[in-house]
Amino acid sequence: MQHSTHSVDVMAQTPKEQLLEILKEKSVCRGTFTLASGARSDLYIDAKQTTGDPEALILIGRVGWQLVSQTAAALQTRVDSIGGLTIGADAIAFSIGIFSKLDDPSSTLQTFIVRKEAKTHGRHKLIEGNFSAGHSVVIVDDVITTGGSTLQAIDAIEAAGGNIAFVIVLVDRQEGGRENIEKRGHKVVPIFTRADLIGADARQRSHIAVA
Amino acid sequence: MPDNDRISPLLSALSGGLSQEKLELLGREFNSLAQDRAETLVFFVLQNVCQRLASALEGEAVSVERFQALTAGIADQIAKILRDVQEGNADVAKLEALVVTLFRNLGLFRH
Repeated sequence: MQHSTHSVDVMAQTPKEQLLEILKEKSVCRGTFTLASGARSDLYIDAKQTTGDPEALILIGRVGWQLVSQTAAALQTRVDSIGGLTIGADAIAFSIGIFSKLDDPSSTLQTFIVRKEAKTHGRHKLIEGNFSAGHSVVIVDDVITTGGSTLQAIDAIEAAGGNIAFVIVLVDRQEGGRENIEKRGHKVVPIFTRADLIGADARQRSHIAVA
Repeated sequence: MPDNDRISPLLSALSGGLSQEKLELLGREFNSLAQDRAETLVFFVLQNVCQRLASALEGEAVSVERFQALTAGIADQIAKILRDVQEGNADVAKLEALVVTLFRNLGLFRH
């Protein structure tokens, strides 16, 4: 059996620092890429390599739940459930939901998945899992560039009668997505930014052109 | 809204080039048009082409060269089919050519 090759010095680092090391090692790809939005970049963040790593998932749950509870307290809002657009959001939402239960069963977050398209048969469901109209919801995403997938999830939840408490993202690529979401009135809280992953000086360099 | 008014925005979108997110949007609109208009087969094929191409691009570190190879010819062919539909002359032969292009781009042919 092949085991994960990353070796994090767990004694010297906080959970967030450990998670950043895994992200840098497993998810940062350099080259010339076409992103989902059509923009070109010399940086691609393959977040699923990190969200598919059990060690990283534990860290995402711990760090993410802390961020959710701190943000909810700061905004003085309650949170009932957490989820986002499949598949980028799924592992993150589930992990944070599990940690909410472990930390404080009375504040357990229910979790859900937003489909990219409604099922064309049966109940035509767009949202799967434990979401109900009236829920105060945290939307999650793995990476935001233009914010398109996050906004798609927000639209689905609002159309189904949910209220957006705020948005948590694993990595903000700092290419306007956060601003696009905040224009809609929803606070965006990134766990990491592109600057954390590759250094602030590389920000300008990595974005080549928008198609 | 008259049906043809739903096609003009799609032609505008295609003229700006393709992306995974745009293909997903086009796929959803073609799915809707397949249910709303008489040219069901045309829009069903277009929806499937967009959906399959978007799936090929999703979750991958797609190099610029690979992206160009995967999408080569697709936008132009879809635009021609849509213009035919606008003029009331849906052409099934162009659908065949589009699917051949998609299969070639994705490397799906076994012969």
